[in-house]
Amino acid sequence: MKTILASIALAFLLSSCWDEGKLQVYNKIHNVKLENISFGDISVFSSLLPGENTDDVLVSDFRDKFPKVHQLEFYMVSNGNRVYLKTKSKYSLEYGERLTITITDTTEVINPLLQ
Amino acid sequence: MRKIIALLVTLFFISACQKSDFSPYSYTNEATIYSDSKTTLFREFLFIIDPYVLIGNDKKFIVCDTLRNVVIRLDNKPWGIFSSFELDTSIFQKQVYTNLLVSTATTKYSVIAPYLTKSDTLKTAGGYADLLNNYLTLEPGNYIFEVISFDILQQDGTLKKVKPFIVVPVEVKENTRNAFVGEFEVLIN
Repeated sequence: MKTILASIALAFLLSSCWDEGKLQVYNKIHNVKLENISFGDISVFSSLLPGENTDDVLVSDFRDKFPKVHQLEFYMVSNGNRVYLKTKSKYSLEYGERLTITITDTTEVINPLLQ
Repeated sequence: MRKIIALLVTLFFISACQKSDFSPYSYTNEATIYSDSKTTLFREFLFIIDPYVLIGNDKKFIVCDTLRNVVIRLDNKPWGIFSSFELDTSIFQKQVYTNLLVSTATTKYSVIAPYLTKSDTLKTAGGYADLLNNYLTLEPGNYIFEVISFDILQQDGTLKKVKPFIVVPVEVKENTRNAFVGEFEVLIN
């Protein structure tokens, strides 16, 4: 019985340090697809058509690893042409929160090759 | 038995606490714009300008290092601003005529005009979207090509702006890299 209690206590301690946030991305750029979207080392979605949005992506980690602050990275694709871009702004996801990132025509981006 | 159950419960919780598999993408540092289309994509227009003046009834061609600020419009939309290839002016016998260097030999200024973005440094996602939709690609078909103006460097160091009124139809054929628009003699007044 002691072993069971100890195990449950240990499991409780471990699970209590664990938390998650939610992330959603909208593509509101005209005439282009966004592919291989990622937020830090988190793969968000493989492909978004104009006007499409991702489902909620659960970002789980130890609580002290939050907030997760990253740029959004993606391939922009149109007419068979492709460019790798990052948003200029960084976005912050706190545990227990839901972060919505909407990429529009006016969103400032960086082409890393030109930096 | 209890110990086994306890161990299993513990293992379950520990494994549940491990980081999920998010399959992180690894991006290379390359950020080139490239095409995976197997067809040849249209990239540029080529044309030649032969500017000249009339001295009496004689044609004398303008001699300068390059034509500057050649403004091109396609279907009434800006295509870009270019310079011609540099000319080796030393090979021509020259004379000065109203602040310009001229020669009896024909001078030809070649221009290659690929699509240019309005800005060298794009800053917005919409700007890149425009670039991807236009860059390297022009659908096959007929277009109206215009040379709106160009500048000639004069002897006193100032630029003379010339508006040549070159308006021609040009055909972009499928699977071609470029289109030769033509060679144009332009009278400079």
